[in-house]
Amino acid sequence: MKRFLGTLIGKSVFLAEKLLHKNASSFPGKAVLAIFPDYLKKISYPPLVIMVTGSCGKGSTTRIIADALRENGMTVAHNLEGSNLLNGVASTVIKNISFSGRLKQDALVLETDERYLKLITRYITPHYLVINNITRDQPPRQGDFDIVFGEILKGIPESTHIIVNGDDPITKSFSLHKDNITYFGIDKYFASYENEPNDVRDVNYCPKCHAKLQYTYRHYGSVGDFKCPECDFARNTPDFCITSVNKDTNEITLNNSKITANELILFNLYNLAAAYAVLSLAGIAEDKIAQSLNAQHIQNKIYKEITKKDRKYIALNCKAENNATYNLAVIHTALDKSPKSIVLGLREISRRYTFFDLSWLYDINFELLNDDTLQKVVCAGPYRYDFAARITLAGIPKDKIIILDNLDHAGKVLDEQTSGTVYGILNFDYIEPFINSVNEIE
Amino acid sequence: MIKIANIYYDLLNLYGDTGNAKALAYHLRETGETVQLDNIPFREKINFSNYNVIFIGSGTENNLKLALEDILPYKSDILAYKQNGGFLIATGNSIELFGKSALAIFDYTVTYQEERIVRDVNVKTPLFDCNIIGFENHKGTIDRDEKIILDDNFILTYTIGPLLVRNPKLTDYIITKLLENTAFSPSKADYTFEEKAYETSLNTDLKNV
Repeated sequence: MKRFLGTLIGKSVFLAEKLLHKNASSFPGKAVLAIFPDYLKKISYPPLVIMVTGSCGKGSTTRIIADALRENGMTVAHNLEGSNLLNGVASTVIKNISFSGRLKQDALVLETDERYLKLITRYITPHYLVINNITRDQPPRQGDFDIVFGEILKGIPESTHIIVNGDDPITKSFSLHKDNITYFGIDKYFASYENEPNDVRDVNYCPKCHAKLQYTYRHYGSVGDFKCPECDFARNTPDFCITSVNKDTNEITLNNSKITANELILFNLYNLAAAYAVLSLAGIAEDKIAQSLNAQHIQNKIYKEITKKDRKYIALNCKAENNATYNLAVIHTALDKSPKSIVLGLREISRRYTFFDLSWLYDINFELLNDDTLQKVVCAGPYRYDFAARITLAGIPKDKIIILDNLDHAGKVLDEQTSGTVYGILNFDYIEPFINSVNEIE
Repeated sequence: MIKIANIYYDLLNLYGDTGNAKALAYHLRETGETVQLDNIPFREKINFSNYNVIFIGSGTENNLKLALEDILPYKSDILAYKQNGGFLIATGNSIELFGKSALAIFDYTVTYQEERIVRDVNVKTPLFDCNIIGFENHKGTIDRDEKIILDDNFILTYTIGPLLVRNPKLTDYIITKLLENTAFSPSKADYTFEEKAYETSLNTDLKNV
């Protein structure tokens, strides 16, 4: 009865929102859980439940998995990006449930916040849990990556099979606590490097015995081919591994499949590998997975390119308070050895709180960009001087720096005062102003 | 020549703490001084008496424990370094290493709360006429009222990350003291960007810019 009433209330709230043209995706769940806190326990869930958690890319990975399942003939319920706390998950359930208390779809695929995983798995036990990565992320909220690791660990039910990044010593160390694990990873490819003295790394020492980890190559920070010289903690070969990445054709080899990736930013490749792994474990044939993962189906979030007056303008979407996303954009930009300019900026450090914490700027290896190919660096937005101070300390000469209050109508400045390919290494809230400015160039 | 060491740089680097040594080295060089900056990894021997300035930054709970074990045998070296006027700038939870139950170079006691302390910092300092600003993010607390502990040339604070970048006056204070007895006449360091950033962050309406 409670379940029925809960469903009725939740669906009514959805209907009311629709009538009022409101789109608060977590509100129906919130309303129902306020009245029936155990509502989610009383539901019969589909025979396939997949959750995705981690610091970056969980939304994209969830979408890739859900789309691929649909293409392979399954019906799928999945939450909208960002509705990844308990209320958002409850809303997804309510939206898809029948009045008999069943989720009628073949699969439920949920993006779950890393701190809320343990609350969500109290009610819903996933068959598979993908842990994309654990990076420094939103420190005022998360504390640090060790804390996030501990919170995720607490949220993994006994019967759940986990799929983790085997290249990252942090996620690899779930193996010290869990048995039911599959690894995905990427072998050495064109953007990998051996050593980079200015890297700020999350992990340098073995999580098991504290000896200094050795690497044959790195993809960024502490992610790469690591091995402990003192104990058996090592990357080893991941079960689902991208073994080749073709820089010119964007074709990657993943186990026995060839897939054309949309763009070769590392996190995109990891998202593909993670999705491939879980889809394969869920019983989809590998050739079918490869077909579904091909680029035309995958919406592009990280990278946008526009050409104006024979110059390329590239927007690289980063997350403030998350150095890994920025470092990957910096590594990508530094690979281009032709003349280039950079645009840096953000509007809000966080949408959740008003703290003034830019310490993460010092975990970004801007030093990599300091060479003769660098023409100009535009620092824009409320934090323009913090960016300028940071890149000066990276050794970039002050006469290369252009300060702008914001990116509104910055097209003229970009066109006339910068040269070479322009890379916008930007927080997601500055992507649109950047693209609008570029589009003004005539 | 000024010698700077960033100790446990590969273990205690959680909140942008590496920015401090960078900022000091950069602006010291602007004055014309030669600078050697050593990033000393965990477990490598630290010759405190070799340096004019030592930086130590914040870490995860586990890494702080590892650093504690390693730093304890250096107690007398650190005391001698302090007496001889060496600078030590400890940021974030690394200050816990110097308290009563650890190195006992200071007499504060560390306690741990359930809730982390996460807040902006904006405090007066006896060193100069403007406030020190910054950010805190830690689990422990110490039984001291002051947000920044000053003793000889030791500066210890829970404030994390690029303290010296955000407070150009503090960087300049350290540089002035370091260059007090030098033979050459130092040029002025240029803090334009840091000063503008400092002014901006005092603007409480930042969200509406």
